[in-house]
Amino acid sequence: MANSLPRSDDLEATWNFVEPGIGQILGRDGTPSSVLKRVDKVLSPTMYVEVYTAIYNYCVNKSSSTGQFNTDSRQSQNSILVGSEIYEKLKLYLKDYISKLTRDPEETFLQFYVRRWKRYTVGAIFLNHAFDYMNRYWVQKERSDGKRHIFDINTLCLMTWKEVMFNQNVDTLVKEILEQIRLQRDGEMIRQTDTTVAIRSFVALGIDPQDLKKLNLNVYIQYFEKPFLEETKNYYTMLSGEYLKAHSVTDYIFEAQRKIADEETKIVLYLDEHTKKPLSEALNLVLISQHAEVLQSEFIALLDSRDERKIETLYGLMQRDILLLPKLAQAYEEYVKNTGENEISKLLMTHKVANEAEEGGRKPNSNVIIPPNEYVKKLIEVYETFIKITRDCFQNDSLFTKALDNACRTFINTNEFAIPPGSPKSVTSKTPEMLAKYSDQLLKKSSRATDSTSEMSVDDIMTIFKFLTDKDAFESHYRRLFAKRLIHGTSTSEEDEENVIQRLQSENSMEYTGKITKMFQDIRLSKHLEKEFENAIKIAPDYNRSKYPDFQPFVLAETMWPFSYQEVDFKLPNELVPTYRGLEKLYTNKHNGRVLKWLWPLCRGEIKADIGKPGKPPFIFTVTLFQMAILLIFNERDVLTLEEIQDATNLNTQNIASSMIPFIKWKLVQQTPPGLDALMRPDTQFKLATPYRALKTRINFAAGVKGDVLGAVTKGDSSESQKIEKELNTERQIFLEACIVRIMKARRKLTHATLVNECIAQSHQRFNAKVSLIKKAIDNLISKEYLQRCDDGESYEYLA
Amino acid sequence: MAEDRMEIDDPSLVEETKPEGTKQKKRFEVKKWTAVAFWSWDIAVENCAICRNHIMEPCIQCQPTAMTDTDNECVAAWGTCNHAFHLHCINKWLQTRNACPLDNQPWQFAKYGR
Repeated sequence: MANSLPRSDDLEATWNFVEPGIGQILGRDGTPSSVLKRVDKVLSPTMYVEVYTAIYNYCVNKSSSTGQFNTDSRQSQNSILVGSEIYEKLKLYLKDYISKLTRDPEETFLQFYVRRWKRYTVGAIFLNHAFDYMNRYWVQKERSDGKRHIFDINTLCLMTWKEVMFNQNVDTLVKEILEQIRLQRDGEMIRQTDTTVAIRSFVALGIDPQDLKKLNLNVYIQYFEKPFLEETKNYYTMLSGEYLKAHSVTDYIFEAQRKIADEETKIVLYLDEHTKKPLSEALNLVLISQHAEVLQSEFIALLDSRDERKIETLYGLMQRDILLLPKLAQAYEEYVKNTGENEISKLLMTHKVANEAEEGGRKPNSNVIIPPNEYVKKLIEVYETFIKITRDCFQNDSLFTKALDNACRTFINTNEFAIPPGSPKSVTSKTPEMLAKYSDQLLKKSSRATDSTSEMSVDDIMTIFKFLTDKDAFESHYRRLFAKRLIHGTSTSEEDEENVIQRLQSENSMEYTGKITKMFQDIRLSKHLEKEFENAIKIAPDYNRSKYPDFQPFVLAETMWPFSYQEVDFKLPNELVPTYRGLEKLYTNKHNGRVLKWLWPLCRGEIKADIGKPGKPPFIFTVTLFQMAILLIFNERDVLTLEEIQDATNLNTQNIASSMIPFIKWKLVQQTPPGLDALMRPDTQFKLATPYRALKTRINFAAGVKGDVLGAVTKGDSSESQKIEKELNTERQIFLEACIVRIMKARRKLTHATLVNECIAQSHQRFNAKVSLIKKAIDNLISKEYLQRCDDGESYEYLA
Repeated sequence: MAEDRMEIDDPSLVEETKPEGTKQKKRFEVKKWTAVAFWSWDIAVENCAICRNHIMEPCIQCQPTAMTDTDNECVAAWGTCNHAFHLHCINKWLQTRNACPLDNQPWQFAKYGR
């Protein structure tokens, strides 16, 4: 065969020699059957080698015959490589070849195009190999000389295809592809490979003449992607519009979710990676954003239904367009807030109705009291409903978590009960107080049924505590109730108390629980003292139980406790004097330089009262110290006048009267003449009822005493809560002043606005600092000459 | 309070009840009692003249940590001149001058709080 090779310097001969081979490589007489065969089967290896050799010979010969070519200097400027004639011939041949391709009568253009493209591209690769020598030398040389319209043979094939086939027919092609896609969207089966191959051809034809190695998507984007996205939008705008006309919004949500999933799993397979994002955006726009208002209004209905699957699906749609989420989160915040407020209003209403039924409508509405456990439970219930939805439906999306937090902070601190409508602006929310009472219910020993406490938990306290804006108010109320539990010994256990304190501390700060912790310490020291005293009196020579009754002293550090010392006229009964004096002696010996101030109104005791019918066991009365003193006088006499009691105890009439009321109520003492008016007259007589008849042997008279320092807060005494509020305000004032001095000392000069903001930020752990309060603190500091106003009228300066 | 103590100190009253108690069984007998008291330093002034803080409260140096440090006790101290300060405060003062800041007499500790 080698002999039949054409003369290497004869262009025509060479071309004539290779042309049939090229024809075979491209499948010139391609009938559908031959197309299906693989190229390497159609083309014989001999033919391939001959074509290759002929072209090689031609290029080598021509180059060396000019005398300028040698292998060492092939890249030199002067070398002339040969190839342009045969290149041009091939180009013409390709044009002719492509333009003569014809459609089979039964196939669509798309089918024709794909069939031909598949065969042509394979042929182009083989052709490229056949012209490999020319590619490597002549083409490269031409391109490096700046002739950008010369391509390697594979690219030449593609460029020619683009020019002759693609450019002429692109409209038809795109139309047919889009038709196929539309069919698939409508749910019909289509030949997916055709569509895929056709779309890939758009990518393959994106050739940059300047840089062949760099594939670009110009052709794909311009001719296919744009119309495709346009079509997608049109299709789904129509579809969603019609679907919404015939179906509910909820149905639509699921439909849209399905459609998007279809597009993103199936249609996307045809497309270049590049279209993935624009496709999603187009879908988001026409399926979601354009219906955002409808969807958003459905959101509220879905929240009402609490149907988590639907809410989740809606969120799944909305979160595809991040611009929609803030609005949705805002709607969520509003919804949670309203729900919380409404739930409390409903609870308030039920109690109002119950109250009116009971009291016959005598009490005005403002005095309705909700039990703390019910109130706190309701808050928790709302919170838990929505934390679940936030977690399960919104995957704890930060926007929604924040919305939930904000909403909870609002409705927990401000609702119809916490701040009744029409209250002055400065009023403190009732929630901290309620939470403190809730804690008290939980931590107090109770003889009553335990089912109310069994549902309560420390976790609940902590949950609500986190949301309180006035944490200092909670601390103040908590401390009062805590003091009461400690002194009356009514805590469920020391561990329980400690547990709560520990958790408050880790939630807020050591400083926050400082006073509470110190109170706890005082009680421990007092228990220690009690033991020490007990041991000391037992070794006394004159020891006996009647001289030294059981004694439990509490010695406290005044500033930590929520009540203050008030001097009260009182003469301790003789029965108690030995213990009293014994303790004072022990204490002052132990602690150098200390004195004790006794808080008589807080003292209590138990009395064994042997006044029942003969043979019956004695009663045990729980009484205040004042009551105890009064009862002890009845040891000598059966009838006493107020004046006599006063002489014996040094108590004022007010204290005597309040002590007597429970005795009279439980018929231990008979008052003559009767009536509240007579109670305070010096000649009024009190007669002890002997024998005393009562159903129980243990009677608590102390609980009925009004004006108990510790008791006041639990009974919702208005003067007491006013006092607490006043104290709170003073403490806040001091806190803010300290805060301002700290800030100004570090910053020397600050504008009013910055200073106020800093103060709010620093006090946020304790309470919600009102601007008026901050202003007052600033004024105070100016008059104390810590600060001065600057001349610019808006700044302050620190005066060291 | 002074009044209370004076009356209690009257021994005749204590003596009186005793024989009667033994004579016949009383109707009312104290089983147990609980008493509450505040302690304070035995000082006439309220504030420490050196740091100006309340003498019952921690001195100005201890103040920042007072709520968190439970072990450290900030006590009062008396001089022989009967002036009282926080122990921390007067100790610091004595490093510069061994005299009472109020009366300029040479300082000697009478007692510390405990």
